[in-house]
Amino acid sequence: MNRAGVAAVKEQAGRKPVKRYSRRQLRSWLTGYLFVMPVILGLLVFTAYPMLTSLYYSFTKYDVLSPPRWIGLKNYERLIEDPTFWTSVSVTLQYTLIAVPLGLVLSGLLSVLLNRALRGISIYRALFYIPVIVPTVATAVLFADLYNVRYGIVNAILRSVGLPEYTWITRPETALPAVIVMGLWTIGGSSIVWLAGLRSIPPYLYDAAAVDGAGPIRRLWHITLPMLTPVIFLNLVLGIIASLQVFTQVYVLTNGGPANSTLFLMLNIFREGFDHFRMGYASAMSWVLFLATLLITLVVFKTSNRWVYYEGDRI
Amino acid sequence: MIFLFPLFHLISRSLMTPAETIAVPPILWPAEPRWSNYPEAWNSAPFSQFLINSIIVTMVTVVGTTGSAALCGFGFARLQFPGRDLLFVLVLATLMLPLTATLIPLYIIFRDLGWLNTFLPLTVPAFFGGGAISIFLFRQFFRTLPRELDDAATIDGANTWQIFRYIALPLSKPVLIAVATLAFLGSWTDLFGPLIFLNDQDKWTLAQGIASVLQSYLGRPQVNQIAVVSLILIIPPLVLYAFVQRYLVAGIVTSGSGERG
Repeated sequence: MNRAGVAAVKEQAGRKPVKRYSRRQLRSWLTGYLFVMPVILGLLVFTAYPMLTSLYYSFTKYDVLSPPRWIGLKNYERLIEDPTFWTSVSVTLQYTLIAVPLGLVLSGLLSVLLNRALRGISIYRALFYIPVIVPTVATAVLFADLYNVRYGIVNAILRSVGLPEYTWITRPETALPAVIVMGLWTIGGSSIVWLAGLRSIPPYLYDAAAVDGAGPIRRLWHITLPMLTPVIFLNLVLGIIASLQVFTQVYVLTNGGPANSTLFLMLNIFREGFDHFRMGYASAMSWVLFLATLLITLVVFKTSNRWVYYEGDRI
Repeated sequence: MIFLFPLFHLISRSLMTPAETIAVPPILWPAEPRWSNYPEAWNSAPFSQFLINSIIVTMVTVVGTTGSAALCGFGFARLQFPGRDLLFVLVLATLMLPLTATLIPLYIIFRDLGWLNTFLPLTVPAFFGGGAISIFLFRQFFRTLPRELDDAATIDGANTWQIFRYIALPLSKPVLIAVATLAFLGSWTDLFGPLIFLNDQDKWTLAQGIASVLQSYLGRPQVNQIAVVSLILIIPPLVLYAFVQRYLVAGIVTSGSGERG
């Protein structure tokens, strides 16, 4: 480097401290970016771009064959007046409001049972997880048979103990409860997460409480539950997201019927988009579902600092 | 045992005569197992083709998911670069994204690429990170490996790729198995993707084939035959689960409790 060059560099360096990174540093960053390159590309190509495009489609009339035509807010205006849309919103929300808390409580109780130090308890844990790995299509086939009003085993059991038959998926009033009950078959999945939480509670907390004279109920209330709030929170968020996206179960079990009583929002979007090829309208619905999911999740997150206790926070 | 009764019932249904499936009151176990249901049901639709399709889609997805999620998880856990944590939060945020928010544009993109009615829309995305949960599991695991391992390898002249390939990856067997299993289950049981991207019957997956056969019945389907094909759909995940059960449940349990530390 000539003298003028050196002087220029010195002058620049003296004037303002530009942070310079060594070649080695840049190289190591590059390595980092290369390692996560698949997910960067994936986010751009399979998430960001499609999301923006679907937002655009939601303001258009688009039947796939001819190019999308801008119609402004028409799709959203139509949504407000579309009774089928509101039916599907109501079905999805009813399911979420009932199935999520119910699943949370029952899987929590199950995890307490599975946490006992019995011989062969790990076999029970494994067995309760089996419904989770059964393909949903098969689960729905199975329950369609169990629920059969005339030939199904569930009504046969009801009859044999002298209870009246139940109409299950054949009547609008009882179809959604039947879908909820089917969903409970797979609570073993969240039980495992509960179990993880239960087992990470340090035993000395219970010992200390016992020394202080706390009974089983107070120990449950003041130790177990607070220590489990992160698990409850995780299961709650995952449960809400999953229940807003119910599709396969109802597609196979009821196909939305009878009388749209199990027409979940996802099924409605699927029909509008891929049966009737109203892609613009279906995109508008998708965005409503997306924003609703985001909003509900954010509310849960916002309230979480009031009731979720993280052990690390104490320090 | 209420939990396993439905499965038992499915097996018994698969061995009944048509008359036995509509007996009132229902019978628990057929008088004589009717094994001929199996070949009859299997040949009632091109289920062999569906099975082959499912195997291809699932295998490719599993390879793509584990490979790319391991790379990304390693990057997020062990390497330093600006924007890393923000990027990781973005990845986790995709968990909240309903499938449908991206579905229609993806359908259009794949149509324009000429990929409809091929397995590409179901398999190619797996190579781009393999999903937030897979990346998360790998990241959590790689964070627990002692840094000294890297340092020792660096002194021996190994570069980052070699550290990943020859040190970190062989140690990550439990996570590898857990992620591969989850990818297998996700792909094997998927109905939504195939319904949208595969139209021609010779491309259908097994789950899709069963759902479609079921929907094509008016009134009551032949319960014994449907039970047969559903059982065949269940068997591969069950066998896999029997082998990896230790890793799967243990993997979830440790990653859950490890979060606190």
